[in-house]
Amino acid sequence: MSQGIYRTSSDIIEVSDRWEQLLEFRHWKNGRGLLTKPTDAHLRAYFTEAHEHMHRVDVMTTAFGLLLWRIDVTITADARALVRQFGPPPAGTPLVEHCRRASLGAPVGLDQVRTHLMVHRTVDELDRLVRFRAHLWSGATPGLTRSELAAEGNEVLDILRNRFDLTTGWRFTTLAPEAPASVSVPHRRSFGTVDILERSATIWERVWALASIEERCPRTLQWWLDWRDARNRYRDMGDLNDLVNLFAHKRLALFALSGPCDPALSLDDDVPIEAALPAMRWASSRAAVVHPQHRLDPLENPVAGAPDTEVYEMLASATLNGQYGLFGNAERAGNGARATDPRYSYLAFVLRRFHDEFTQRTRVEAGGSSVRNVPRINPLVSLFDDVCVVHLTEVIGVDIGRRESGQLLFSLLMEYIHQELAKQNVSGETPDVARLWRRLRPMACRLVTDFHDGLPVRTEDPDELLGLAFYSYAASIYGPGSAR
Amino acid sequence: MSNGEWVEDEWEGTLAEGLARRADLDPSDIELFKNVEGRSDLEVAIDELVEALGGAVEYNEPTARGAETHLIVSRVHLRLREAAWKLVEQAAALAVALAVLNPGGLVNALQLVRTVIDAATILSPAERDAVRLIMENQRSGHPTSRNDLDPGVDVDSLIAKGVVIDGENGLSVSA
Repeated sequence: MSQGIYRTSSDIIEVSDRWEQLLEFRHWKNGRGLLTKPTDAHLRAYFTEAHEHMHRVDVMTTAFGLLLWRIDVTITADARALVRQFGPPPAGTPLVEHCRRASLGAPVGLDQVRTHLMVHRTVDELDRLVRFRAHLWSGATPGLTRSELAAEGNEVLDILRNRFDLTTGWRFTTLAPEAPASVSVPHRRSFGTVDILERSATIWERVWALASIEERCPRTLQWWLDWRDARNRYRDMGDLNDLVNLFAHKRLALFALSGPCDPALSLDDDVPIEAALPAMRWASSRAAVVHPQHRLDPLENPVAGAPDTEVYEMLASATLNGQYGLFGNAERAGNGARATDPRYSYLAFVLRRFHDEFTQRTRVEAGGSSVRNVPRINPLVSLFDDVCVVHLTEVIGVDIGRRESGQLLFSLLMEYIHQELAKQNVSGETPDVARLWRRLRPMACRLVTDFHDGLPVRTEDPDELLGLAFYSYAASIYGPGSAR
Repeated sequence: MSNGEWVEDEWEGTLAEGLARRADLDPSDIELFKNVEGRSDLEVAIDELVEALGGAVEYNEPTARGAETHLIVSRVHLRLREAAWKLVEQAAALAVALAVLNPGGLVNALQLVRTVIDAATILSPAERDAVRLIMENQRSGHPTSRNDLDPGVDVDSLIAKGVVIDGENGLSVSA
């Protein structure tokens, strides 16, 4: 079955179709090429790529996306540290449980007492990060109250402020402490950020990908409705052929992801989770969007006093990562210049791009035009079955030459592998290394062929490069502040 | 129809495919159905049949691997009275078999499901809306009183059908 994957907080989209088919389709769409009638395979490649691309835009350009990225990066770093300390967990055992079962033994000397304390603290913090992330992603666990969710959120804010060296101090509060933290939506079993991201990308397929070809290829509409089972799956969105309705839902998704939730924001007051977290923002403003007479009204935060309209402006001028935050080890070791250079370090690149995106979004909003929700920017890498496509077209205010590109792409490859292995260790799944290896091999081939000058090792062997990237997960040779 | 316990099941895939599989329809017919143009119309009709029988269909985005966003079919969750399951399964299986029988088969399949809906409906559209509202309130922890419902809805009739219970904390769906 055709499928695409976008792993949050990354710059790689995977499309299990052929790039060649997408190119043929694009030529057809532009009235060129030899293709006379698109096949189902052409359509799948076209829609899948558009869908995953939209996920990438929603996650990597919004206020909530920044919070999620911080959580993902911290989970990855902690999981790596704990796997080095305790070894990988056995199949079916989440990493936190594995670490809590293991004994560090009696400490020998005060230095080891300190190390043991740090390890225990890391396990506790990883537990909190994973739990809060799950509430955000899949919807809050049934039975969890809003005051409990706010308390868990505050623990995570403290952890992230510490890890990113941020000095802000506001807290999450709630307007209804005893109310359930979960959100109820018609025809949905649960509702979390994943639902918002899925419907945002599906709407994008309908209002852009499908709308731009349906006149020339009328059968596509029925094909798309069948392929997606969209009418049943998104019954609560109403008429999927009413593009005004769908644009209103698209705005709602962006609104939901734009709340004041990131710890870099310098806020004077505490923030109710009802005004900050995506699922609650989505649910509270849904009524306005579905009302035919109010579809085009500006969406306003239902919670008075919360500064959601200023969020992007504040983030554009905020310090997203303090000096002793993400690259603190490198700074202390005197290697800060390299580690924080977005031309070489993927994590520094992401921080730079978030800042760039927030600045641009602020400009658009100040101009009074509609909020930009078009996937202007590409992911760095698109992996198809036949080709690894590299896009180096980001606007981040620095020139990235081919040599630096090799460094940046290798840094991305490592971070991608680390995040994936960490997520699997954390959830207790056995990492499917073979699958990940097969999927990423075309990227390694591309790196050793076209970007070899920038690689940290002189090799023409993609397997050697890939081996190095995988090995670095549990080894310290490419830990924070070195290769990054 | 009010007899029998509520039974729930869920699967990854579409409503028609999952029900036809439960009814032991030939897997090759189910595979053929995946290529029938207009099959989403049948999905909508079967969803309507479930609701007409007092049941509910809900969807989940698959989140088994929490950090991934997959572009695969969602997880469907179906809740029905035990006595109604067989009817829905058999209707769906028959409809799928009709849809793949010949190129125009989907029209016959839709007609079949609509006939079953007409024959088996125990809830009016207003009653279905009322049940849906009670379920949503239940999930989000809010009580529902008779006054919250459309005045045209006969709550006592819903209670007599075994769909709704009137308890200390207001109305609830009797799952």
